[in-house]
Amino acid sequence: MLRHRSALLAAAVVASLSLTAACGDTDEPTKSAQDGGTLEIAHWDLLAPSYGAKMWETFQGYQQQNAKATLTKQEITRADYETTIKTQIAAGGGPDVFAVADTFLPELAEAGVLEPLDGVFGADAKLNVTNEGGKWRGKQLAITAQIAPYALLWNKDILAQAGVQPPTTPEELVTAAKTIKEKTGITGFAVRHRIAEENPWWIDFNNWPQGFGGGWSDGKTLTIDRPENIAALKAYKAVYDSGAFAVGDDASTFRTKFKEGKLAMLIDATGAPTAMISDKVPGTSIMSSKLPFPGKNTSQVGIYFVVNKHSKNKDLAKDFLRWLVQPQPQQKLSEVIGNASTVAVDTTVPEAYVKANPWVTAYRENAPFSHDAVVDGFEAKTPQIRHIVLQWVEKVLLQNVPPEEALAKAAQEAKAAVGG
Amino acid sequence: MSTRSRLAPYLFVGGAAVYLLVFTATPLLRGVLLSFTDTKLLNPDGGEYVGLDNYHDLLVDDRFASSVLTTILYTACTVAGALLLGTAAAFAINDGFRGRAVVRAILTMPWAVPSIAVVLVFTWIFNVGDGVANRGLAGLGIGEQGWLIDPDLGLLSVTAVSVWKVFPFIMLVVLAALQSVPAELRESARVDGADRFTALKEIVLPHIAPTLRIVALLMTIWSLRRFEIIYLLTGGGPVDATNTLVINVYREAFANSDLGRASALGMLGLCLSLVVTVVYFVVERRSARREEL
Repeated sequence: MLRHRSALLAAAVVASLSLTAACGDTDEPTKSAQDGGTLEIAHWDLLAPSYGAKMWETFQGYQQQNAKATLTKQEITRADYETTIKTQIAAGGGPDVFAVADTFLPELAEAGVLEPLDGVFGADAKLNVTNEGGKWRGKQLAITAQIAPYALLWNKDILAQAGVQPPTTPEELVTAAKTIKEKTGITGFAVRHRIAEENPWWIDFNNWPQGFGGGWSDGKTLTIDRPENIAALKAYKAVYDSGAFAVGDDASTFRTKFKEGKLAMLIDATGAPTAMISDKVPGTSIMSSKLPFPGKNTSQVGIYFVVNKHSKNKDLAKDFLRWLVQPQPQQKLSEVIGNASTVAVDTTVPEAYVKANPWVTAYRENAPFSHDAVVDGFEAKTPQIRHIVLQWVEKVLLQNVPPEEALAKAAQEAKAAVGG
Repeated sequence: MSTRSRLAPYLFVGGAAVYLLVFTATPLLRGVLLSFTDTKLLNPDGGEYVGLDNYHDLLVDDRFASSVLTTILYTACTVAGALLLGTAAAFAINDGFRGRAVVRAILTMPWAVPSIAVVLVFTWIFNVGDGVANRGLAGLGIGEQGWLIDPDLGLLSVTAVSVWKVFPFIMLVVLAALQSVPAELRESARVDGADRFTALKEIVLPHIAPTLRIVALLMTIWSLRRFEIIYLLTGGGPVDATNTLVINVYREAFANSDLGRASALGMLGLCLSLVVTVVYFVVERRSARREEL
């Protein structure tokens, strides 16, 4: 009986191992771009209601140049994007070409899962300075998809109704928000403030220390509790406590409120206004300006295109990017995403568009002063630092922990976790 | 006994055994091995052996202890709430009344609705400025509450949503048990002069008790590992108020890409589930012995 059992157990183990082995992939020779093939592209913006379809249409323009290429898309929501891509890459798969946020790029670069792009783009490709952000330890691993700075956005009709001028300082921001709430009943101001949106909140929150002349590190050591950051957190807390802040709203909720004319002001990146234009709030009612902080700096949503090292179509993927950075597709891409972001090459904004969408101007003016939310010197450790800092910011907002104490403790915990 | 007869039981369980070996035992074993390494998500084969470091780091971390407590509190409240509501609903729809089929369908609905839809609806209900919950409170003269953003209310809100989502399962299972109570037993109790409460206490409850114990066990295990409702509603916040073990595992594995630490957390979570299961079987065996006596 024992022998029978052992034989059956052995058979089961062999069967399971065979099944597992059968799931493994096989090596195929890499094809050249001329051979064509299927290119899988991933970008969370392909799901954007206002311009996702047009963005895809722009990418498909490549098929006119290379008839043997077939483009397919992988649609992943922003919230799940990084997790999904990481899991796919860990399993040896993933899309051939995909968009990555600047906060995610260092982790991928350090893991060595990106195909170098050095030598892919000739001298005729007029890549602008933003593409320097796609370099990692001297190697070009990514090219710019979109650099989206932030600006203060406001509904000019609501501000006029409340008799309020656009704020230019943190104190004016609080006063303006309160006055709007008192005189119109409309929520005065909104920005992200919930841990449920951790990654985008980190990028949004970076506006405050940037605007106050602060930052998270000096490149070698962490500077989480520097005085500028403390002043920024105090200003953030003051507007949160103003009684005119959209407490509890996530970005999707407060953007919908702005679109419905139920929110007066917000700080948001370039992608937001195009999605918030509506019959109630036309493009001409949305105005923008420099952030109401002491300095000119803003945060930025930096998005890059990369080629997956596991791709079976690396040459085709590189050829696609070579095509994408040509002036015509770049101009089209810039228009599709609302003309306010910087793409891989410099583009022009049609006069008529600026007239119909005056908010574009401030974004273009803020672009040279925008900075990513990656912690310099601790690039791949940014997620850990982010979580620690934001947890202490939450305690300031919700439990009234003094900003000095919160950032001092955050600095202490972050140093223990990542060094520096 | 012929060879064919001897082999038959093994053949019957063979398929399930292979399935469990491939899809449960193998990942579990891999998880155990990973928990002793510093493996990163983007380099799953490149981890080095670090002994008990991951476990040590977790056990000296205050946040881990707080996370275990949150998990136990969330599980206890969800199981208790769902059992009470589900059992009460089962009793309510056990007796025949006009429109019972419609009421039963409506009460079953939360179980059928996908979690993501539940989360979206409750996010709106709990919206501070415009949500139905606060508007209802305003009608009663009570001020705005930060259902999902107040550290004192976060766990309560998430538990309430979880109970609403899962109580129909208990209702259906308990209803089936209630309907299997022999009518003649109730009738003889009535003839013997037992009132409704006595019949409930002496006949109905003992009859459905095994069912209640098994649904309590299932509900406990499911609650210990529930992820989507909590993560989508609060992401583990505010201020870690809803940061359960599963949320921690997800954060370590996918935000921090630390598979080693995430696996160690997973193993500790598994131990918690095992403790619950062992307690269940001990209780079950004792009550079986009592019944035998």
